[in-house]
Amino acid sequence: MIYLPDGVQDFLPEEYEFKRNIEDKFREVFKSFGYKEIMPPTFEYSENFSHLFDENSMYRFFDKKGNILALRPDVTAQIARIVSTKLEGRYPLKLCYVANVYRYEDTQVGKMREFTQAGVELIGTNHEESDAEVIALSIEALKSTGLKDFKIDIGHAEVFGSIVRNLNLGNEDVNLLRELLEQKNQSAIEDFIKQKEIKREEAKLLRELPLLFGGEEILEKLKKENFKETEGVLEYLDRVYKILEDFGMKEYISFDLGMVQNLNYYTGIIFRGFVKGLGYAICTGGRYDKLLKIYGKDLPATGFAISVERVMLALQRQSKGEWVKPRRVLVRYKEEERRRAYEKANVLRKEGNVVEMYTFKRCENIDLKSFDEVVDVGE
Amino acid sequence: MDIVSIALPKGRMTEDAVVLFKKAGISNDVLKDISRKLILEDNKNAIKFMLVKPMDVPTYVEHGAADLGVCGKDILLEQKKDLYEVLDLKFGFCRMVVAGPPNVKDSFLTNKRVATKFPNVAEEFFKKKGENVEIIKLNGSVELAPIVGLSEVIVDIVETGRTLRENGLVVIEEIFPSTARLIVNKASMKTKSERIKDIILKLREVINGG
Repeated sequence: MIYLPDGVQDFLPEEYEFKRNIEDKFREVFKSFGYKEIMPPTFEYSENFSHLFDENSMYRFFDKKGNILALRPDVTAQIARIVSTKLEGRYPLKLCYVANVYRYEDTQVGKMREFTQAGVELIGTNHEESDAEVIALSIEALKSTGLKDFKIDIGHAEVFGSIVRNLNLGNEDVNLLRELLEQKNQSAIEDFIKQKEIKREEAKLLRELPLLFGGEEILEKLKKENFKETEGVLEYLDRVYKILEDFGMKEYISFDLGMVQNLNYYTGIIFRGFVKGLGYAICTGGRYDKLLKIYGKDLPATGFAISVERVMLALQRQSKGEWVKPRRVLVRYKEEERRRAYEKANVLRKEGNVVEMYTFKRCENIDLKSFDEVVDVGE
Repeated sequence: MDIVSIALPKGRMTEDAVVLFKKAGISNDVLKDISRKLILEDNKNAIKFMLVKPMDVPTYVEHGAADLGVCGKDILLEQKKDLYEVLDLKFGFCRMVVAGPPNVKDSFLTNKRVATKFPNVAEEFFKKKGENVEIIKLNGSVELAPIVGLSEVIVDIVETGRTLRENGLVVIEEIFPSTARLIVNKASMKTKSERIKDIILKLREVINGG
């Protein structure tokens, strides 16, 4: 038996057709919003990713000259590099991609080491309309696959950011607090507050953050508390929500003000997509206004990436694994009629059918049931 | 109303967990129904309990087969799953310790062997100390290992210390204390947010109130 390494998989014809179908739908929707598809290389110098990813989470290797290369763990960093170094012109720039990325992580169902991301980046504008557009686009893309029961959960990196700045915590404590908030660990946050002797106002906010999620009423709830730190954030989220409401997307939106992101390039709004019954996000995104500066051009940006395999899993669980398949037609022909048969087959192909050709003699071994229609030429 | 499913660990923590949920007004007393059934339904409160091996609780919750779970911190630290760990339920107290025969106390060779049901916890602990050890994964009766010469020490959970004493072992070092935690599936928290928030608040009240 020949095995595959952990974290990679073969997609056999049925599965791959299903996957391609989803990817094509994403492409179509992205394109219809004015996003242009690009494709960076699968690997490049490791240091281009080192601002964002831990060395140990990347697949790294040497070339013959001794340079350290890495398989891309993420496309956003590559697009930031491309926009900073190669793309001139007027902003905003709208780019999209469907590409495989590679991360050295523990594997399980829905967490592979090679997986496909479909995403967009909207670069050069920091208006709330851009954030709303990108969130709306993620919803339209997910909807286009037939997915049901999903929510885009919205938070803001500055909720955590402003608390941390006020508290003057060391790096280690910041990471610990981030982890506790990520886990919504109310008991441990309580201990943290006591141990660090955190003052009343911040302590009160920290205590509430783990459960500050739900519908738009959460924004109201926090507004009433009158925290100086979160005033601006709340107004911003409110404006984004108004736009999404006008787009008719209310039912897909929820808020989580205690949300923190692991990738530390986010600076503003952050969001994640969840489907009922699937324990991990199918989509992550947000605003990253400081990333492009690292590569040489100081431009604001916002975007998201959808995990294609997770969407496949969610669709299968919702038994929406069906898609419109083209008709399969068998053209049977007598050898003397080969020319006419080929012409007939091409006409049918142009009409969008899948056509296979066999002479009557060879048809004995063909599974006729796998075809929707049989066309005979001659006899 | 959405049904909320809760994975409970079969064994020493089952009773405490059921009592806590009842006290918080979340479910009826289902203790009397526990026999060999793996699923207990409380239709009146729209709650479904499932009884699984303690080590499997995080798996059920991470995959969304259960919305909530009750699980020891020891197991969470061993498995590092992707889920919300929202509350310390303050029961099921125990300690994760390094234990061994009394005569080896503080006088180790560098490459000692460690028998344990918690290989990740053990590895991380000794790595942080800068010690090279050989981890031997066992599935039970870990106390036997040093007695029969399979390992020098063990890393295991201790409640009262009785089992250790009965086998002539002593605690050499404490790694961390552990209690039962309430864990939540990440998608359920958002897709059934009202119900789950309500459950968390009710439990929090009971825990903090007494």
